[in-house]
Amino acid sequence: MDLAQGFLHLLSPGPLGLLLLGTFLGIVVGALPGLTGGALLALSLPFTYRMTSVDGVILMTSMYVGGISGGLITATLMRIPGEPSAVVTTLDGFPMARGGRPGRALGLGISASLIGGAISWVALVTLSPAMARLALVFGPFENFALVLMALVLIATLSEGSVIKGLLAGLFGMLVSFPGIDETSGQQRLTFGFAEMAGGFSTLAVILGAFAISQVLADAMHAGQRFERLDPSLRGIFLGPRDYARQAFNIVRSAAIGVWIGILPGVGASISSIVSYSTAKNMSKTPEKFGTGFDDGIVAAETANNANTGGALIPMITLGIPGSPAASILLAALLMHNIQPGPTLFSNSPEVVSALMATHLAAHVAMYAMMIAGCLLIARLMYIPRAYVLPIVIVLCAIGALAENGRMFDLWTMLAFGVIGFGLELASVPLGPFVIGLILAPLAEGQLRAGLMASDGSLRPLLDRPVAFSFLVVSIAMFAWPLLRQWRRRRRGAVTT
Amino acid sequence: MNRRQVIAASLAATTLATAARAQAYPDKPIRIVVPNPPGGSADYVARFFQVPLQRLLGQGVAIANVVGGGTSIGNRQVRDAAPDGHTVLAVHQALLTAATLKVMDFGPEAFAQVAQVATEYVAVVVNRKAPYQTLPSFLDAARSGELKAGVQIGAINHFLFLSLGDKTGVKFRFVNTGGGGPTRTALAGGHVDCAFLTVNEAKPLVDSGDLTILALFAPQRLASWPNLATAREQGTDLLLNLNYWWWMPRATPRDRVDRFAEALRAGMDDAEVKNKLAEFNIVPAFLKGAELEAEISRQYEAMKQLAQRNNVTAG
Repeated sequence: MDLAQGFLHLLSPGPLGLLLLGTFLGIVVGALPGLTGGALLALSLPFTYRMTSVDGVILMTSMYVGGISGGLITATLMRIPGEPSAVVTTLDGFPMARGGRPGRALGLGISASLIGGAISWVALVTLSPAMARLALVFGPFENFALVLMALVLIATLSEGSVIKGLLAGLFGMLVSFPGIDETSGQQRLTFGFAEMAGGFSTLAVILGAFAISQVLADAMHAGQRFERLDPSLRGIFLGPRDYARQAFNIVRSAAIGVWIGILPGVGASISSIVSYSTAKNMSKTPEKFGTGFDDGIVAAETANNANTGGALIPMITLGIPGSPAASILLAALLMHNIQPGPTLFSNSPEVVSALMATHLAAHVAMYAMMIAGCLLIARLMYIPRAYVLPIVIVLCAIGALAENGRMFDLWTMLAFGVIGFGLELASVPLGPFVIGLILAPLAEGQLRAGLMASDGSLRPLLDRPVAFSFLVVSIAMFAWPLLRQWRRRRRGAVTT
Repeated sequence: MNRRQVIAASLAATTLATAARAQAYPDKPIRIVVPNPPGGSADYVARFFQVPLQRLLGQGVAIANVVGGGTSIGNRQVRDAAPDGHTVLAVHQALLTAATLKVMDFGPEAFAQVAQVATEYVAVVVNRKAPYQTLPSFLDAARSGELKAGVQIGAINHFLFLSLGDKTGVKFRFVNTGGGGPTRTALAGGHVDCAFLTVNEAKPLVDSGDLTILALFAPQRLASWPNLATAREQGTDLLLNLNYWWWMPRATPRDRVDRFAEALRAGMDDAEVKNKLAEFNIVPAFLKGAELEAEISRQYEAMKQLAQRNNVTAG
């Protein structure tokens, strides 16, 4: 009932205007490399303070949805992810666009975003209360085992060399270590530099490794123009056969996106990386991934939008945001003294229904805007790189500075731009690097909190059924690609 | 006019201009650094004052969340800022805990202490299913030393437990669950046994029947929640609270510090600020000047001794 009212409310001019404005701004900021949806939300926070709580929620939720979706544009057309969550979209989106099918690449990404978002909306509406209860069961050991399941994907994600993948993953972990050691409150690996007490900003590192390094690579042949291969946008609308073929991939990727969304503090980038590597692992034709393959784009873009619905579930039911962007949405609610929790549904039903209605409506608005703007957007590809690259650098610098207002983050970004460029040259995969970077602190924090609770014993990992089953799955997932490689090698040895 | 006269005249002119500028404070937008992420109480208390300060000072007021290093990054940024009154820090006892743990190589003495605007009393909260549902029975159970307290090691919620332990002789086993939100969830899920939360943080899960507030460490009961017992009534005479403090770089001219403090005090009369504080169960409590400095240094000394007795300082 309330939900119907939420949708009806969105049809009145004021809220509709906020919805369209928020979605549009989100898409634009999402598409611009460097500027993230999270930064847009943070900048809008003071404005929502003066609005009613419902209006604030409508504006911020639509920005959140638009921001996650817009990232695919630049990822597909320029191989520069507009958002960290679109990092793996570059892997298949760009080759397909370069191969002369930009319309098809964008169409796949935009449609997958809509469907992923819609599936996560269903989860948000139907599962929220149940999920809130289920999440309470999850203690430090369960959370650790759950994070471990994603962490072991480092081994499977490494295209080519497993050793290089593991090295990249370990390097990512190392980069996450400096700063305050959470479980002692003391500084570590700061080498006496006061600025290092804050550690390396994850955003600055990702901007550097993915955007700045790409700028450096492109600058090598800045004068080169892409020949116009396909001015029409054939294939932007997917046919029923496409949907039928992708159905399983979509459902699986959405489930991964929602689930990782629920995990606190993980964010959309990990969900698309996990979903992409799972799709590749389970595929009969894993070698097609990375060459402009439909399944890769669909897996990545379904998952990162599905993450939005997932991230909102613990935010409204427990007050624990599932992603960094959701934490700013939470801040907006808290400033109106709307305390999330099991009682939110009875105390502020209008806020809950506005949030849920906007989540779906913003996805529809996003789809309409991006499909309509496709023809214009696709021209981006043909702008000479020499004009684009300086703009990208400036935007990235603004993005890195805007997060915390620190010059240190800017230097971090530039340094990791050079490091990322070097890693690319040495064909060290960057996916495992991001996984290590984002997940290692979570795994460490949860494990050490668990050990503090158990007085140093690891037994709960084996005793607690949920934690134990995740542990078994993690081990299986870690062993699987190694086993497959070993079997392939043995078969190879037999035939030769 | 000879050369000496010219110099004298221009010197006089400069002095006058400086004086005029001093009077004109603030002559550009003011940046308020909050060293905590958006959404925490330290953040929203600063934001309550944003609009009234703009009106009272006649300049734009921007809030920047400079997060990291247990608030040390933001604190340091303000300490090193130009001491012209246009950079202000809004942070509670987190500044003292960071200094006590030697995460920063400076403490409250490195700042001009502007004002305190409010104080927020905290409460000990347990799971509704726990066998102890009053403060005395909880403390009895805690004497075993086996009760798990959800805290963020080195942060204020850790020190609150150390204070309680110091007062009652009880030791807790600390589990690093983090800030208010995640700690509240760990408590509701039974992964820890007790936590210090603000009334506002605890309320939704108290209403839902998951948690019980055992005692509020305030001098008297809250008007907004009259059946919430204080610790004092239950035999533990201890007051524990967060103090919302404002700071400027050490060398900021006294008249500018006073001008800003006065704006904060006037801002407390703003109807919206009053409403917000009441709605959040935060008590207005204005302090400045010598009184404020005495209070901060008293708390800082007490905290350092507490850390030493409990062996939480590594440095």
